[in-house]
Amino acid sequence: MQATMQASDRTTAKVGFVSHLECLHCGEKYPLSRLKEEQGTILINICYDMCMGPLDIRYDYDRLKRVLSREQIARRPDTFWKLRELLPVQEVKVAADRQFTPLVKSRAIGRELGIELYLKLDCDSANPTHSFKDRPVALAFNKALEAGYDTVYVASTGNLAIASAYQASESGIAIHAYVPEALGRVKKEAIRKHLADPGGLAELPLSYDDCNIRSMLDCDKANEDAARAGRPRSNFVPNNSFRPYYKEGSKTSGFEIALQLEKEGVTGRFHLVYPLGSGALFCSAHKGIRELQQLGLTSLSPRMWGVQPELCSPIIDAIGKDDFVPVKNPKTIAKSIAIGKPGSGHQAIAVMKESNGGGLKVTEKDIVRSNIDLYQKEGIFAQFVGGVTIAGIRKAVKLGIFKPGDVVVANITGTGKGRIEDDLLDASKEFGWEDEAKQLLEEMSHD
Amino acid sequence: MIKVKIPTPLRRFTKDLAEVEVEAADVKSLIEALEKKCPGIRKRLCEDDGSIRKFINVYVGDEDIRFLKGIETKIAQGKEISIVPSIAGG
Repeated sequence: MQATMQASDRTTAKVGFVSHLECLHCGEKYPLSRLKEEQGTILINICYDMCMGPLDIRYDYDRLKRVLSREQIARRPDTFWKLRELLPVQEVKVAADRQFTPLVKSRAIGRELGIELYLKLDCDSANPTHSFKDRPVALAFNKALEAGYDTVYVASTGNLAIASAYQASESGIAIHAYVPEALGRVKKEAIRKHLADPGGLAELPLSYDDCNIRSMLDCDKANEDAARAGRPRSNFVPNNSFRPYYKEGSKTSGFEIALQLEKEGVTGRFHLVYPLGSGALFCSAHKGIRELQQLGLTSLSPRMWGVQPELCSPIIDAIGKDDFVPVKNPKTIAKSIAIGKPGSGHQAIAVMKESNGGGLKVTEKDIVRSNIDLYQKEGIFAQFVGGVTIAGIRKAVKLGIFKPGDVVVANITGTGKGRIEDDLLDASKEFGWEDEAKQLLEEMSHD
Repeated sequence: MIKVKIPTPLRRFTKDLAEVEVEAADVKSLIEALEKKCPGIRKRLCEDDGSIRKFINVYVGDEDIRFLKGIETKIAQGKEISIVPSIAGG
């Protein structure tokens, strides 16, 4: 068989304040110059020379301390790029105009639970595709343009494909999106809306995890074909081949929450609650706040709590154990976190431990009830994943983990689409509890 | 012979080959055969005790060996093996 040496791409060994990439498992350090020399690109995701663990981006924090101050940051506009020195891009080519998403004080649920509850709304129109995925995707596509890549392969439970399709069309990048055919109609329509070529969406009779493998193998093959033809590599998977860079985009969730909470007068410890799919957003948001602490830019210190549905809880189930038991074909109404092999699961558990937080599991019915609560009591129509967060908070209060008066931030990571009644009935048909859904709707109509 | 697909970052050990062919009856003997042909690759795929590293997925055909018999999983002739780093998703 013929060898196919991967050609170099246009990345360079100097990116802003980035010092190196570091393995989260064994600690092996990869300066950018080493990556470029050994792999022809700095866009590498795994510890290829030691343990194959995930790589994470590190910055020159000493130099950053001399460059960044609270006063200087306060003067900057509240945009996605406010702390650009802590993001691994050379030049912002796309998504330059993103604003902070809102952090609002809960009107009713917080009072009911006796806590100071804030809702971080990544389901707001401040995200162009109404989910937090716009954050990591903004980073990945800027890296793609910087490196001269022109085609994206992406597997998704919905939100990532919607965000990627939008950004691909804004960036002039071709897209191949892979989704499980069981994905809801509304999400498929939202993906199609942004596709320049309708053939860019493949609905496969596979689970999300298997779609993921397919996207990676197809991307690899496209790069091999390019290498054989003497062309540079130009195909990428945002959350895989670019993962260390992609994840950095989600740090902005942590940056924003810290800066917004400080404006509200909150200091010190607080509870920060996320739903967990792969665990990447959870870890990145924590990293963002830790970096601000390290640079003396915030006094806030989060206790990190991750919530998963009982029907798909590989991360929570692995707490205190050596490894995960993957969930094959996970089924939960919160489809955006139906991930059986969580890519950042080990790291998420480490973050819970380090921050003195933990994990919570919630039932499907609690997810749905909490989602309806968000809609009825706060006026927020979230994807069911929003109900996961709120159900987790209710459980933590009930168990006495969150005490009266505690400050709690709930991340609502995606907007529902259409009407909540249809969303509920569609999902309940699939899960075989239409009668209960109708009863819930009946109860809603009496409120 | 069994075809093994090698992920890009590990092709340093396969002289840049994307696929390597070896004789093997199960995943355990496959790793041994790979190491003979591509010295250094075993250390990247396995822990010191011989188990597959937690960040590596090995597929026999379309099935992850975690859902089969792990390293003892038999490999029928003609099956393709894919080695895929596990960091992805979400």
